[in-house]
Amino acid sequence: MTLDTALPRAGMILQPLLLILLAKRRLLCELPVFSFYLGFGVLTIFAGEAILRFSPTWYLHFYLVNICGDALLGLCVLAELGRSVLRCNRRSSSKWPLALLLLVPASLLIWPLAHWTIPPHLSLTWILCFRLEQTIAILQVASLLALVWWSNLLHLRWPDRELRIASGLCSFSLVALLVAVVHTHQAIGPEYHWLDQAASASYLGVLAYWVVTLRTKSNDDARFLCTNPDSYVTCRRNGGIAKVTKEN
Amino acid sequence: MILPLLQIAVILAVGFYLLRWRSGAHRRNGQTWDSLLASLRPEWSARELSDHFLWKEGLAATQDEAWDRMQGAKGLWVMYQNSRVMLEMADFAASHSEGVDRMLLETLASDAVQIRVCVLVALAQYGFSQASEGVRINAYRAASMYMGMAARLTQLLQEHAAVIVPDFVAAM
Repeated sequence: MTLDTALPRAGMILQPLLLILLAKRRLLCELPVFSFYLGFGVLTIFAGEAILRFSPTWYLHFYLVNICGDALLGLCVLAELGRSVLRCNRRSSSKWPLALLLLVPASLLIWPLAHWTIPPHLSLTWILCFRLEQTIAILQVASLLALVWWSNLLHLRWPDRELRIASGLCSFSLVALLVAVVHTHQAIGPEYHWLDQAASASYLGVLAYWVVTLRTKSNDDARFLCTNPDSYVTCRRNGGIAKVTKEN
Repeated sequence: MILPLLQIAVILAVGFYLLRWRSGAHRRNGQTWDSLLASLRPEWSARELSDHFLWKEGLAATQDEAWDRMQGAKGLWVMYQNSRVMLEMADFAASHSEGVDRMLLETLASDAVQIRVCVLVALAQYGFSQASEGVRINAYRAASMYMGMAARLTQLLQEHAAVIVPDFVAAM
């Protein structure tokens, strides 16, 4: 078995496993977009394998459509994380449509910039592929940075679960951006494909991280957050501070 | 050759920033009430600006008196740091008790942002022109908002976590 077949197969195992874990922990309804994003990942892995086997010439077109859908869903996951963080902090924000509107000029700005470093002798489909890869990677990292900056500005607390999801997305987006940037300065050859494999491996690493961390209980679920042994006061998670009892 | 290196350097810098943010957010999730109390800055207390500090809004001092009593930049920096900790305290109280007024939380968050902006402006002015009229006005505004925020937080704690108010009052 080569790395090219092993990586998608590992994805075929890890992504459904993650979905099962989400369902088991009753998180499908709490994080519907993230669940859909993972489900979309499962579908595209199987579809990609089928296209490679039966009609390989169509694979590049499939890949272009796939990265667009994946990017859109990724941005929706970020919006869902933002909403979840707001809800956890019991705050509301009426400015989220503005953030969505800002995505349009940001994309229009990045699109021509992404053309700048692409080698000119490539075919139209490959140029389109490079531009899309770079635009999407930059847009995802920029959206992540905007979300982090905004939560810092409002001083919002990130619940453990959302923090883990965001950490995974951060790592994968940065690797994707790094690969997209290096690709534009690289000659087509075996080294070119190694980077693609490295990006796939990093995504598998993120999936494995999510699987492991979703299996462990988060601090928000399990921890007695406040203890003060001097005055024998213990705050219980469910009772809250208001129902603090003095223990003898 | 310089361009790809520059691009990679930018990506690594973004990665470093995100890593720092992640460890900060993770550390914040592990905070206890005691660790929050311990992170309040003890060098200066706003009690010197009003006898009713923590219980009522407003200052019992003129602009010049307030500037002298807050010991200039030292008091400003304590207000900057403590406003963040007070907001974390409010969030902590809200996440551990039911029925905390959402409007009150939003007001506290807005107070914290305004105090920090006001302090940064005052400190920048102080760096250029020492204790000028503008610096004293901004410092007075920051102190006034700080009093309001502290009074609102005390009210929130009294309503939802009365047992920890004495510790809070002592730490402030």
